[in-house]
Amino acid sequence: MSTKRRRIWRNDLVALAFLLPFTVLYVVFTIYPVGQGIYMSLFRWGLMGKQGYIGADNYARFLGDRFFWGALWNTTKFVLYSTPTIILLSLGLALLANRRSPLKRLYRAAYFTPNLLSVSVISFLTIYMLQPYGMGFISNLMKTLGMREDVFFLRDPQLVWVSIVGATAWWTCGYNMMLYISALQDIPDQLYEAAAIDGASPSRQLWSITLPLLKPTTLLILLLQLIASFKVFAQIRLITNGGPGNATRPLIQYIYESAFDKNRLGYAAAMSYALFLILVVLALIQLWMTRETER
Amino acid sequence: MKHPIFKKLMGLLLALALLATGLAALAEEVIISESGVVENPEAIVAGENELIFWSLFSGGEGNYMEGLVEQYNATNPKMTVRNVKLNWGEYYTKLITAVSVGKGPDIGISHIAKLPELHDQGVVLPMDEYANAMSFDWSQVNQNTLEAATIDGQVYAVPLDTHPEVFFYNKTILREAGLLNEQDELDLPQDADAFYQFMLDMKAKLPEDIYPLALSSAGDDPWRLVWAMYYQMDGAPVITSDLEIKLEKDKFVAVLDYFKQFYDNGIIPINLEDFYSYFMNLRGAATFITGVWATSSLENIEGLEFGVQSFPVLFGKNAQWGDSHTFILPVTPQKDAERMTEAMKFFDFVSKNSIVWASAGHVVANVNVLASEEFAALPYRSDYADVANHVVFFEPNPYSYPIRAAMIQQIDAFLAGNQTAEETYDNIVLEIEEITF
Repeated sequence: MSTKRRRIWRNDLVALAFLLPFTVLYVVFTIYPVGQGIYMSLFRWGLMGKQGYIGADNYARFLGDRFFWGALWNTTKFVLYSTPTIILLSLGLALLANRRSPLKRLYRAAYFTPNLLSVSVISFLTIYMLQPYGMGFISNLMKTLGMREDVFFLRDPQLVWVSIVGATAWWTCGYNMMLYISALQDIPDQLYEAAAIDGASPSRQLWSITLPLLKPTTLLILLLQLIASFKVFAQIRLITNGGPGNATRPLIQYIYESAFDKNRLGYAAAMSYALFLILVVLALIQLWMTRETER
Repeated sequence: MKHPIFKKLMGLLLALALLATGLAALAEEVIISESGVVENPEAIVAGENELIFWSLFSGGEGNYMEGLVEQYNATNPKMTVRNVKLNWGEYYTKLITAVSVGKGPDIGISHIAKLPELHDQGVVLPMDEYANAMSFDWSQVNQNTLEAATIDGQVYAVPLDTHPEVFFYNKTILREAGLLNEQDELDLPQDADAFYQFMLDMKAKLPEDIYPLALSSAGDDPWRLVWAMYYQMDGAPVITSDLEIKLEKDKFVAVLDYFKQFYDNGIIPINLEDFYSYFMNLRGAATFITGVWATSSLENIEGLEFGVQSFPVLFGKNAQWGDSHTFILPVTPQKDAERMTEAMKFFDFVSKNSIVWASAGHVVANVNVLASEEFAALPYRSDYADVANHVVFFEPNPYSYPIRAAMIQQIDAFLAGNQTAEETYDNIVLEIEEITF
């Protein structure tokens, strides 16, 4: 009895020792800052430190700040444009890369490679490609094809979104494609064989077998993508810096500008919790959906 | 009896702890990047007879400043100056955060427009006391800039220079087009309509592949010209020191609409990303407007024959955009009067010897240097030295930088054709209200 208890105790200690490094880091770098952020959001707070308690003023303030809503709307726009684009593109690429072909490996590697690049690299590639006046690749190509008009991708309120979403899709599709490929490989071959024997055409097979069986993966990608897209910042900051005007400024950039350009760290902290709330809701939905599909 | 896994675990934890202390020790080592920029300036500790100077100058400017510091140290001062170059983009954030934890330098640099913000945050010290201790002669610096460095009757900065926006032109191209006068110079009409006509006429006379005027349609430069033209119309301050928005709608809208014609009618090609390169590649653009810091780069371009003059007075009153580099005394925990006084001696030395600084293209703030024969002998600089007296600064207020950023964004959207001049004005006012709440 007592040896058994001692063993259990020892096991617990060992487990604790293993958990400790993570727990300490998690508390110090995640839990504590979250708490500190809430504290900060109740103050006027500059880079030099606390300036005075103002209660919930920061929260009331951003609810009436049209630039906050504008930035949140831009983020939402990005989510609405990029999510379906990325899902459809990843699915298409996965279907292509999963076909029996001697070049299968090459396809996968080629589609996945952009994912390895850092955000600054893809952003500057985008900027250079879209330079007007025959300087950038696209403009040069258009000139070669005989088009005389210059197109200003980063200055037009619609085209600028095409550019940003295009760059993001090119950058991130490879990862989602991999998720789709692994799901595709889990679909048993017999299903297709049986369907083929029953005379189902390849497109019938796609609609009735492949797509339904990919549904859980699609849901997973959808939610991961939603969460990632709501956090969009770096590529927009680098490609357009939120421009033209404020047309593409996402919420995180507005938070960043409020904190470091306008010296309002408390206000920025308050707005961060609005974004935090959105992300928590999405995470909860994801949790719930995973449970549903697992059931 | 101890379990072997226990030992291993303890060993691992110990190793982690050692690693952590090792990392902490590493962080104190000074990290200098390839370009000579110090990544962790707070790790540099001053020697007993040494003043730490955080500078934001890099490239050519950085070398001239380095030269001035070396020159000063060669005079055997009581305290030598150690020049620490910081990354310009991070400069103010580093300065403010370092000062807030008592690790700031003895000497700093501030743009004049940023100074009130630093003052508001409690980052800078008034210098009158230390200036008096070594009898600093305030009359040697440009009074227009000195006034902008004075907050609530106390001086917070020693002006080093003014760097206004000026008008460059390619003599070769304009001579071919027959647009230079007998002195081989460009006569710019000093009137809005005449200037616009003149540029249209220039466009007609130039070969098709040369742009009349190279300028960006986003970022700082268009804003600087709008600023200058608005004040040339005798506009009221964008915002006063009491945070009252006085930006006048009719004048501002008129300036925006006037300015946009230059883009709409092909005088300035819209959306030039890297507009410097068009002027610098000899046959890209006939004229070019930017800050005086471009002068020293242009001088070094082989085969480029250029002239420079102040941006024309288009709306009656001579007003120009410019900013100014100044020396500041950041707040330190000790507030050591002796160190501060020694720092003032360094400022005095640099000011008196700023002929070196003029080589970087700046209009130096020291009036004696400006009046010297040496300065007059410098090519180009004397052509725009007078601009410094007509520069309009922000009225001192802690929000100049974010207000500038907001104005730039809005003018950017206007020039991209996404909003009217009226909407641009309205948005700017809304933004300023949001910034100054």
